[in-house]
Amino acid sequence: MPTTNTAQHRKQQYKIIFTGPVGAGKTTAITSLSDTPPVTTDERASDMTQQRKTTTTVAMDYGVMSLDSSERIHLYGTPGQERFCFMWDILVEGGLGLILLLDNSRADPFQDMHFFLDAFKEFISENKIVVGVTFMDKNPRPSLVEYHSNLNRLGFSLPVFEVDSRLTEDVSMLVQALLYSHDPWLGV
Amino acid sequence: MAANIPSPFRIAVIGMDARAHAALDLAFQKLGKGCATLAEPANAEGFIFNMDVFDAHTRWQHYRTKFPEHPTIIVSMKDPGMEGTVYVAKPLSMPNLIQAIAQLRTGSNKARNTVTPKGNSATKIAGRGNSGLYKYGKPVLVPLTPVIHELNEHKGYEEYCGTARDVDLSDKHERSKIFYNPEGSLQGVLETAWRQAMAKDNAVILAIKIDEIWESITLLSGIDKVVTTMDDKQLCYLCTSPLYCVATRLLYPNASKTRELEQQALVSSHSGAMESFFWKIALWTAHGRLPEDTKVMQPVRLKRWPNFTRLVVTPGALSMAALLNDKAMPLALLAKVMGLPQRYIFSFYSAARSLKLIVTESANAQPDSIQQKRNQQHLHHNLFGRILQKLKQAV
Repeated sequence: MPTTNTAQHRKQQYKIIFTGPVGAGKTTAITSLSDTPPVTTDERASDMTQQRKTTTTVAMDYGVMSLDSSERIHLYGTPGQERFCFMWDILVEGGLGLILLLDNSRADPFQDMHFFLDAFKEFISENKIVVGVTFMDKNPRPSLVEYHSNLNRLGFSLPVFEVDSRLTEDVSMLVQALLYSHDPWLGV
Repeated sequence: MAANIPSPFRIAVIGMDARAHAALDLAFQKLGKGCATLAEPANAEGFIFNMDVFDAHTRWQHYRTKFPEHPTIIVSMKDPGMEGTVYVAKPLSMPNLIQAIAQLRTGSNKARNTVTPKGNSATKIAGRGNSGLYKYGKPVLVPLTPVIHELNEHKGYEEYCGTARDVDLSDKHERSKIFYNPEGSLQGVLETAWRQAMAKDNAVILAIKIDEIWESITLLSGIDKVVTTMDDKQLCYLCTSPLYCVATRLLYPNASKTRELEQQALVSSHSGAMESFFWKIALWTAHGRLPEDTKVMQPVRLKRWPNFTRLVVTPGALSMAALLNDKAMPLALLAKVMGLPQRYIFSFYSAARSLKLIVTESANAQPDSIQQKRNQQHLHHNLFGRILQKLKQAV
């Protein structure tokens, strides 16, 4: 039976999950926000992932934002490869929301989007999700308008932003949109 | 002989969180004209007491036990009618706070004074005969946002949203002050040019003569980009001036010239995304106002979230996006429930409308249900506030 201290400690632990296909920028996004160098579990890519990156996340990435001495927001990045999808359900448990990063340079970003929306549909049904589209500077299509149309057809109306996951302000805006999606009265 | 300049009035604050405290501190430094400085209670000459905080009545009793004689400014949504204080109604503004502090200094708080939020802060002596007992009603969620928004103005939002005070939207004459006509402006000409560019699938160039030099804005619909030779200062100036005052020309390059311009745009430092450009043009032109055919009582909603990572984000924009993406609401109601200066509401609407993100609806809004939702605090409201503060510090 948890002690009061453990229950209180558990109360102060919150998380935000970053997901998306290989190479979309999850690890980089967490690095942009984390107060400390994030813990990554990268290994050398052995399969077709090699063509996109030399390393890939095999378990999860972990970073943290400290709000004060006792309160932390844990940032978890799911492994992008499908064979690690068993980790996803574990990682999202108790999360404040999901940030889906999509790589606009991949062959079919909409297929990626559908895949992840379906994989996390239970979590999404009770929480909030925002979408960040990376590598749009070199690959402007599909456009954000097309993403919104596609999402509308699936019954979603979400924040979708163009993002450079190296930029703290871009990743910060994704998290802010997630918070405002939950609570529009925040800050007013 | 130089006039004696009074030293800043040392004032302590009760009933505000660290964020509001910091905002007020900065407001006094930047906007307070040296009238006051925040101090610890032990060193304070007077106090600001927020009566909208939870358990305000208990706090008030503790405060008066400890500091029975200190002059006090009460800030709250409703006047609690407390003898020996100066009441400043929310939404707060620095001019009203400055006036209230002046009253504390002169000792004119002995009789109750009221500083109203609108107009020229006419004071009146209420002189109520109550014994000082105050029955505090249900706590109301009322943030100190107007002071924060006055600070935001000093971060450059004034350039986009102007400084106009709120008007009574139920008064026809007052309402007439909030509209502008985009047609006669740079915004109107650019929107027409953009439609032409889309229709022809070729570039359109708007040439404008400023100080005998021809500047240009090139609209490239094929790649969703705009190239301009002008900087933000020049564009802002043009947006706030009637366009008939300057010489302009529209040019229509052919297909091959368009392709050449597109190639140049892809590597040019003077090019930017179409949406970002039109959003800024709309903000500058609107300057806190609404397009003249806008009906403030008609519900509106957003088709989609704006791409905020690439747009100027004005105060309250994310809140408005979240609200209007979820549910249609009249602008008049939005302004009322958000408690933001109207110019921020109107700026956001005008910019979103310029990108064709606004849909008008005919269904009647439910003001009571919206107000109810406004008063229900999200389970993680305070946590989200702390995360937001952390994120803003990090950037």
